[in-house]
Amino acid sequence: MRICFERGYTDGLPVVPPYSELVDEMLAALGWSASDVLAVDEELRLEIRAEQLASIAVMAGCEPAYARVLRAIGEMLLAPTFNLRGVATTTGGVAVLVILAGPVVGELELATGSNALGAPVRSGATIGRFAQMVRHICGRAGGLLDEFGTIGHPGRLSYCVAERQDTMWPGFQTQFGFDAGESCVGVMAAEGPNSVNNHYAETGEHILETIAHGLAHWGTTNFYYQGGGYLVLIAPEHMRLVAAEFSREAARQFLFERAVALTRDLARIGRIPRGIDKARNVDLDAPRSPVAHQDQITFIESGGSAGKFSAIIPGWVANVTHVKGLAGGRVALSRKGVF
Amino acid sequence: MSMEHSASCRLLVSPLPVPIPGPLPVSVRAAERSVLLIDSRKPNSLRILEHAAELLRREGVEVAPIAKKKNPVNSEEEARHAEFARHRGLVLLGVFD
Repeated sequence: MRICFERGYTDGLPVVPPYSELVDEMLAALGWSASDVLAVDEELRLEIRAEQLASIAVMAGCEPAYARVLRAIGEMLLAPTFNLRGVATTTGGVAVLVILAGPVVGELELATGSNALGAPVRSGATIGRFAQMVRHICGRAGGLLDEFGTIGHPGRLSYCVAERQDTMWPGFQTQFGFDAGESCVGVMAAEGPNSVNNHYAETGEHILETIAHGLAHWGTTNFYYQGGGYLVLIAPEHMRLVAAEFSREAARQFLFERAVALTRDLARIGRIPRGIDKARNVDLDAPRSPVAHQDQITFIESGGSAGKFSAIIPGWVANVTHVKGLAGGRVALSRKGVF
Repeated sequence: MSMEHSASCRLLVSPLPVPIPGPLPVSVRAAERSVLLIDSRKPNSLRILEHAAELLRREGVEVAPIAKKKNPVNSEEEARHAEFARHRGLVLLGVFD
């Protein structure tokens, strides 16, 4: 353990030492050979091999039984489209949110009820940690680069959400073209969850109005670049009201139309430059949304059955959500904004 | 009372990315006494680089107009890279904040 700290292997917490016999067992489960090259950084003259990710999985405390999820996460994080180096080094201080949906949620006994974000359950806690350690170790090129997040957030240690299997809308993965019965894992560079509290609303419309207000608060990062997107997490008590009045598509349209601020106000307070910027579609006379397209808003149902809360999880402007089916095959990307 | 120590030798597998072997060509001296600064359009970045340019000019160093990236994160296009590579002085990336 001491050696792991001295060599910069850890995320600040104690780790399972990546002994070779444990790494070999993880590699076998992942279906890789130790020397398989997963990514090459031509600028810094570095390569990331399968044994590096297997070592990280062991250190994070993962079981080999999680391997199909870990492999998909690793492949998506190392894809150039994910921009892992940017996620690691930005002043924005975002973390990698892991999103799980479909039968895998039950198979790995992931938490979807009370405290779904941050539940003391090994599968979610260590899978979420694995993604952060890949960001921390590979995203900053093994320590050649620094991480400049001005504030950061606790999700940079572990950040994982799984969808309730009794979700009232079609599953999260169907927003990316996968079947509802297909197990999927997604990765998204995300800020911390913003709680949305409404205990007295009696209609779904009032719940969505409350969420829209949170989406378009003046400090939200996306107002200028309109990049990234938002994951709106709706917990069951809110979902019962919303789903009674809105399909998922109608709710998305509602939020896209209502989650806006006056562009002149944003310019006046300095949230966007005062000059006209055609590249960013800045029009002082039009209301401004933090997203360029309504498809940048996605939904997931998770959380305990008691309590009228939801959460808004803002994505980082220079990233798009990646989702992969665990049966193998394609990776689907969320729609890119203007950035 | 005697203490017993059990010593074992177990290999740790490094999680750190692996250097690609081979020479890395680096020019250690600029061909001319000039500097090209590159950064994003963010206000913090530009303020710092404008100050740096002013200090360099006071020292008699020629400083080209600051090259501003279209956005802070995405890579520039190949044509822009080629333009930077043609600069015969020192090319410095900025702070991107």
